Amino acid sequence: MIKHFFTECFIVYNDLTFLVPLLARENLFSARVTFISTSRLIGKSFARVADKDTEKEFERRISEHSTMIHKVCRMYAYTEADRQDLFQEIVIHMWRAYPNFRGQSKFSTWLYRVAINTAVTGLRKQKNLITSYEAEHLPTHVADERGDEEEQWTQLNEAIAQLNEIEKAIVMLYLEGRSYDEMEEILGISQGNLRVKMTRIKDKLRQLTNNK
Amino acid sequence: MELDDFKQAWKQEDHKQTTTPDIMELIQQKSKGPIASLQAAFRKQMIAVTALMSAVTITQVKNIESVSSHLLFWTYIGFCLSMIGALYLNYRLTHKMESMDGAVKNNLEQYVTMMEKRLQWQAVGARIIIIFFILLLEVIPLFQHVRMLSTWHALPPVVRFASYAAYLVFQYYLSRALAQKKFGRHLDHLRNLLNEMK
Repeated sequence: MIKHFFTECFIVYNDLTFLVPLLARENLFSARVTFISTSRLIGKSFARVADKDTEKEFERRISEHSTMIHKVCRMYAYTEADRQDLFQEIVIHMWRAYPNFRGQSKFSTWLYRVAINTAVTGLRKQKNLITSYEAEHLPTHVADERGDEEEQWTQLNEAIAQLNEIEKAIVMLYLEGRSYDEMEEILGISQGNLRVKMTRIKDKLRQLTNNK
Repeated sequence: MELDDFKQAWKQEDHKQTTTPDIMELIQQKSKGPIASLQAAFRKQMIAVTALMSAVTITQVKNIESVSSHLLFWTYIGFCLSMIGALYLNYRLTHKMESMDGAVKNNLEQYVTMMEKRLQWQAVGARIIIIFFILLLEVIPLFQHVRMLSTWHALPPVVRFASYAAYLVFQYYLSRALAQKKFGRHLDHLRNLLNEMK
């Protein structure tokens, strides 16, 4: 409501600026000064309110989708410290890119794009995020599962950790139950290509887990 | 266990154990990624070159009349200004590389292209600077700083030009090795990823 009010004020302010040269020409100097200071004040207030609103909206959206970011961090980083760093990096990049988000795609799609891009290109220095993994840092299954399944889970996790970043992204989106349509939108890979890759990844994982 | 069996387990996993940090606090933090470090490096270099240029100019203020006709002095100022310009262009380029909201494949393509472009500019820039200084070294003593004619220019032209060529070759390999060490592996890795996506 307040935001709309200030938006309207801002539009009116922009429209009224056409009057300024006219006022100046008519030597209505004091009127012009009053007009400019008032409109600047409105402009500033609008910007401040808009910023606060944007921040709150962003915070709410991130909090709602934080599980997704944690899952991306889990997929690309294996120590708690690395995950925290990656989480922070993703949120910073999301905040910077947020003004460009116009709702043309789903928020989750946009979030995955930023998160995967950050993970793939953004953490060159921390080599362990890219290539290697440490078994003790891999996630463990929920406590009530059978020991045998737990071992299989660990094996599969180890196998996933050996995939490259793009394969990891495909696996993660697949596990999340995202449609191939959405996966195409996130990754920019055609659906046909994605299906072929998925089959190959499954074979690769099967081989990796069988070799253990 | 097949990947499809893993789906349920993935969803069941308790992510609540991981606490979400304060978002508002996070967005106030500075990025620690490689692009941010590159930007910081360019910023520092711009400040350093500006400070150096200002320092030299200030120390020469007393001799402004004699210095104003010195070719070397103006060359140095011109060199510093072009360095600042080049660093600023690099800085702007890294800003473009920060965009992370495109589809992963497009983003990666853009990132790799920009990175390659930047490294190419850097290599070409370094060579141009060296050639420029070689030319300067050869030409200046003919007009000013005649003292140099009895030192470096006293050597036979073959030796001088062979040294220049050797230096250019050395610089070529050194800059390649440094670029490979600093960005090469990362860039190769991203290029491989990109090829796999095609």
